[in-house]
This record gives sequence, C-alpha cells and structure tokens, in this order.
Amino acid sequence: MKIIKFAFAVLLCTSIISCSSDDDNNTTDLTGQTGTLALKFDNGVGDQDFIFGVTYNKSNGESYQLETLKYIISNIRVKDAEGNTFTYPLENNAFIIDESNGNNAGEIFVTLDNVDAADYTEITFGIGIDQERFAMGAEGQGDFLVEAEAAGMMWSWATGYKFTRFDGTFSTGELVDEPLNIHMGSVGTSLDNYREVTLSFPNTVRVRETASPEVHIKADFAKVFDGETSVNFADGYGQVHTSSETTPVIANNLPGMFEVHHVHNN
Amino acid sequence: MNVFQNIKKQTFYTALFLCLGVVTASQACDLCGCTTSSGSSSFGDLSTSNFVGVRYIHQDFESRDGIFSNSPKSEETFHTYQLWGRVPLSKNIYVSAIVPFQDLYRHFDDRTEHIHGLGDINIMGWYQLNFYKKQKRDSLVFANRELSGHGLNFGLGMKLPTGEFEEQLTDRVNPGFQVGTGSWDMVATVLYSYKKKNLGVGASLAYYLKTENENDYKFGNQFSSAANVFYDVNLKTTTLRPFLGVSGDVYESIEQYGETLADTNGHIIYGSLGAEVSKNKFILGLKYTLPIAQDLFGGDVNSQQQYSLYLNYSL
Repeated sequence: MKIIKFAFAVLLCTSIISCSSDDDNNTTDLTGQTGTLALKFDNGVGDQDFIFGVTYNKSNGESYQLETLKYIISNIRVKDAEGNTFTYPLENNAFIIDESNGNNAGEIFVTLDNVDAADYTEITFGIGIDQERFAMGAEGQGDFLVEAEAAGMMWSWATGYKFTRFDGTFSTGELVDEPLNIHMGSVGTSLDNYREVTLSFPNTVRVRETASPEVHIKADFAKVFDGETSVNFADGYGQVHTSSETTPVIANNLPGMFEVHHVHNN
Repeated sequence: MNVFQNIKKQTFYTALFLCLGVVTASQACDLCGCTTSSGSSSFGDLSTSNFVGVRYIHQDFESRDGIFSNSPKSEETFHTYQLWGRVPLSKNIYVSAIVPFQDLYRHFDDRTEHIHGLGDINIMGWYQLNFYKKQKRDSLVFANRELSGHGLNFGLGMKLPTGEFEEQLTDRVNPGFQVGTGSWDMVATVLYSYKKKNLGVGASLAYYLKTENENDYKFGNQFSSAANVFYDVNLKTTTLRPFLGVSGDVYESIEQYGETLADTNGHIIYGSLGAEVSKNKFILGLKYTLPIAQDLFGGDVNSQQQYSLYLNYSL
C-alpha cells in the first residue's frame, strides 16, 4: 500500500509542477517603445581571434600580418518576425569598425539607440558606402566624412571612401615582407564596390525599453583573400586600391566574412 | 518482489546498478545547481543513515571568455558550504534537506567577479524499501525476517529558488556562474544500496525537471547517476571506509523566451575516490573528484576538479 501512496504522491507533485504558468510577454503592445541594440564585431582568422603582428597563412601557402584592420559598415537595418524592417537613421548609419578600438577581447561595439521595440530575426548591413550616400555630396555626409578622413578611410573627395584599410606585409615563396595595402573602395562613381550582407539571428533579438540585446558578429578576415574567390598576393592582390579588376574581387569576398555567432537577450 | 529476495541474483543486481551508475547518454547546465545536484555530490553519506551535518564542496572550472579558440580563459572557483541532514518521519519514511551557501569567484586576466549568498535549498521526501531473505521452509511464519542487505530508496523533492538569479550573468560563457537558478525544480531519485559484511555498494539515479524562472530563463533538465563501492576497515573504536565511485550528469539545452540556446547542453563523467571515518556517532568524509570525460557548453566550459569534506552526526 505504501508504494501506491508513494506513486500517488509522485503523480500529484508532477501535476503540480506541470501547472506552472506559461504566460509570455508576446502579447504586450510594443508600439512606441524603443530600445538599444548593440552589435559586437569580433574579427578573427578562421577559429583564431585576430591579433596584430601575428602571421597568418593563406590557402595557397602565402602569408601576411597586419598593423591596421579597419572597414566601413553602413545602412544597418533589422527585420522582425512579421517582416517589418527598422532602418537606423541614414545620417548616423555609417560606422568604422577599427580593430585597434577593440576592448580586451578584441570586440568592437556599434551601439544603435532608439531602435523600435520588436522581436528581430535578421540583420542586413552594407560594407562600404553606397552610391546614393556618396551622391549626397560632401555636405550630405554629415560627421562621418570628418571621421573617415581622420581614420584615413578617404582618398580625395572625387575618388571617395576607402571601404577597407588593411595594412601590413605579405610573403610569398619568392617575396618576403612586401608591403600589403588593401584600400578598396568604389572609386568615385566609376565602380560600385558597395556590397550588402543579410544574416539571420540564431535566436530572436528582443529589443525592449527595458532590454538591450547584444548581437555578436564574427568576422573571418581569412575570407578577404580566401572567400568567394581565392586570390594570390603574387598576382597583385597585395596592393588593391582603385583597379577595376582587383577591387570587385575583394568586394565580393567581404560579405562572406560575417556571421552572427550568437545573441544575448538581457 | 520475489526476484529481489532471491539472494542468488544479488550479484546480477549489483552489476546492473553499477552499470546504471555510469550510464550517460549524450545531451546547459546549471553548474551552480550542480553543486547541490550533481551526480558526484550525493544526498547523504555512504551508509544512507539519518544524520545532520555540514559539507564543504570545492569546484574548479576553466571557461573560454570569447568565441575563438585562442580567446582568453577565465578560471572559476566555486565554494559551497552546506547544512545537510536526513531525519526519519516513520519507519520507512524520511526527509532530507540541503541548505547551501554559495561563494563563487571568476578570475579574468584583469579582474575578478565574486558572487555569494544563500543558494537553492533542496528538500526531499524519501520512502525506504527493504528486502528480506527468503524464509527457510521450516522457519516459523511469524518469525522476524532477516534483511537481505539490499535496499531501495525512492525520493521526490523540490529545489527552491532561494538563491538569487542574476540575468546579466547569463551573457557570460559559463551560465552556471549563479548563486541560484531562480526556478522551482523537481527532483525524482532512486537510491540502491547493498551491504554484505564489509563490502558495500551504492548507486543512484536522479532526474531534475527544471522550470522557467521569472526571467524567462530555463536551465536544461538533467539526468544524474552515480555508483560507489566501499569497504569497511574496522579498527578498535573507529571504522575507516575507503570508497571509489563513478558518476555522470547529462544536461539538456538552456531555453530563454521559449527558444533553445545553442551550445548549452552537455555531459560529464566523473571518477571519485575518498574515505569516511566513523567514530562514535560522527562520520568524517573526504572525497576527491576528477572529470574523466566531458563536453559542456560546446566545450567552452571545462570542469577541472572537485573535492568535498563533510562532518555528519548520526541520528
């Protein structure tokens, strides 16, 4: 009999626990609410965290090391579960991701304020500056022009922005410690090397008045040279500036660098 | 029940339960909960007696503080101080409780995080089932039956959200760095014990059904198992009881806002050795535990070692 009583007690406890409430905040009206969304860019090479001065090998046996690693991100927008898109205000929607500005762990934060509260499922951003923004002229660039100039991310105004600034040295079988400079951009309006990438979030990103989620974006620098196309320094890819041949190849490799590693909702 | 009473089968059951002790399927883990609810940290001493006592558990972990293989590591040291005991309510029914105080440190290259306070209290109700030897044909029907040495204990209990759960800490690599889980969890467990002369065997299976806490955060359900073998060395007034054990924990993934978080499930198998010394009504226990195999949080968290020390007073 005791066993029966015991079994009954087990059942009772199980059913009590099963009755725990399942209410979610999903039904809450988020209209008018805004919150902060932080993007954390983390540059690496393969599964290694990127470190200045460390020599990395390419797929073809060539190697490189960098002293400067900067690129421009712009036109950030996020899409929610219902398909609504929130685009960050144009005038503030261009950022320089500079490895030397990273924290102890080498993470570079882009903090977006006043983002509409919603459950976001994917993010899209551009690498570089699109032709529309460039067509707004020097005055239309706002504070970003000054910032880009200070960071060495500009040629003359006519040639426009350097989307990337990767400086260091490279070695091939024959050449040793040759200067490496990838200053790729759109070259005025003659070339359009602006590219966009869309990444889905592994978990819903819940922007709320009271919650500031963090999106951890992993950028694999190895993809710059070994992405959609694998390039050889020996073939002139150690110096990429305004060439209509080499710049689009690098531009096409850039979107493949990015992945959302994980998100934090808090 | 007859099968259990068959002494010839005792060897079989001993083997069976030892095997169950090391069962580990493949499947985050509230390691803080683990300090009170890991397969390697039992609900009582080896003799499964009634007692009140104190226990200290020391656990070391190494976690990766970043997403790359060369990301910096952080070292976590968990100190848990427990009041624990088991008191009988009737011949076969008893209750046990563990009241933990957590003192947790996480050392980074440049800083140390420290959280401490009352942890999650565990209260269990138990039913003890004893098995008797088969009666001899010519024995009196109403004679006192002889115990077979096999015992089963069924336990059912709750882990209470008495420890503070800090949501911001969930962002870190080791989500187990919490004083409490903030959730009401149910624990169901079966203990098996066998004693013949100086040799004893103990095995346990436990399942932890975890619920969502106020922060919409739910640690993964957990299955724990353990097996111990001990041997009594009787000295003049003291008994020395060395033991060897294996244990394992399997954790399902953590869920937040109803979504599964990647790389938050895992499993671990421990080996442990130790000894109990009993004199008069006191039992002093010391146990050292090392992981044999583990895969916690996608390999981001590594359990390094554990040791525990307890002093119990038998009731």
